[in-house]
Amino acid sequence: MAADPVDRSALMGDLAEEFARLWRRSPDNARAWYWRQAAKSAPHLFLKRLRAPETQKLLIGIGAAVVAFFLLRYWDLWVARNAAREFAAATNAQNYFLPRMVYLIAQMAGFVLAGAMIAAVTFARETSFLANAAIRLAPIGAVLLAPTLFAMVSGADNYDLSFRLIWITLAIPSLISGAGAYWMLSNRSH
Amino acid sequence: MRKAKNLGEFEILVLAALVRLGADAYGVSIRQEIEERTGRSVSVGALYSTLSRLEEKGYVASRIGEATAERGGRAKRHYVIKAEGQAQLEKSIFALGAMLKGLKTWPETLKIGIRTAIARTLARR
Repeated sequence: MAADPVDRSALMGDLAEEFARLWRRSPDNARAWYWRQAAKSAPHLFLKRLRAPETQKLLIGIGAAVVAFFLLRYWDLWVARNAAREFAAATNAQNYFLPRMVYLIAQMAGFVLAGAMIAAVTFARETSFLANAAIRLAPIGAVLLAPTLFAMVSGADNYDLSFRLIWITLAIPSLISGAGAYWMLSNRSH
Repeated sequence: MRKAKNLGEFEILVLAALVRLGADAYGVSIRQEIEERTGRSVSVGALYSTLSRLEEKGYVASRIGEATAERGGRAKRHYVIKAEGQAQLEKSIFALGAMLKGLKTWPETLKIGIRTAIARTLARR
């Protein structure tokens, strides 16, 4: 199961061939040999699959998305909310409209940075701009939108619906910035 | 991605086995050749992982061979060393030989153990 599909057939054939040869001498030894081989081979084959370029790209993409998620949480808690709070205090705002706008603009800046960061980290030189954007921007959008969608589905009532919908649209600049980063990197590498 | 061109110890053994076996080289024969000559146990996983790495480096080529009933109807994968692999193997062996040449103490080191040899060398200073 750990073997690369390309190697699997030949590898299983080798095991079957040697197993048949050993079986003729001693079935018990053949069985023991087979399980020893399976146990000793699995780590090598697993590591080989981990080293494959496709797996590495996937792991880098997941890692970048996780880092971006935590950066956004930090940004949300310590930058955007503070900006809105300080704006409200400084202007002595009577309603929440302007502080909320400040919060959303600050949040948007965080999303733009996250989108560009994930795009830069997951950029693949060998694929075209369109392939890069199509394959990688969808997960970026999903990562950025997932917490809000989860909050909406689970009925969190911190903010009203219109605010949440505006918040969701914040993912759009991040996707645009990601596409921009891919476009710049694609132009630079060709 | 640039691949490291230097050969590891097991890679040297595998390439040497390919040179010895010629056209008959496939998983089972390579494994048996190394086990019989070196006395070390080789897992099929380690072997295929190494062969795949050598193929990525451009040192070996493979082709799918015939399937037999004894193999459960699965085809063999034959490996052959390429000119680049041969050149790199020779380079690695010459490098090893150059390091060992004139090293008078190393057979003694093997006999008495590295720790004892180091201790004796330090005591002589």
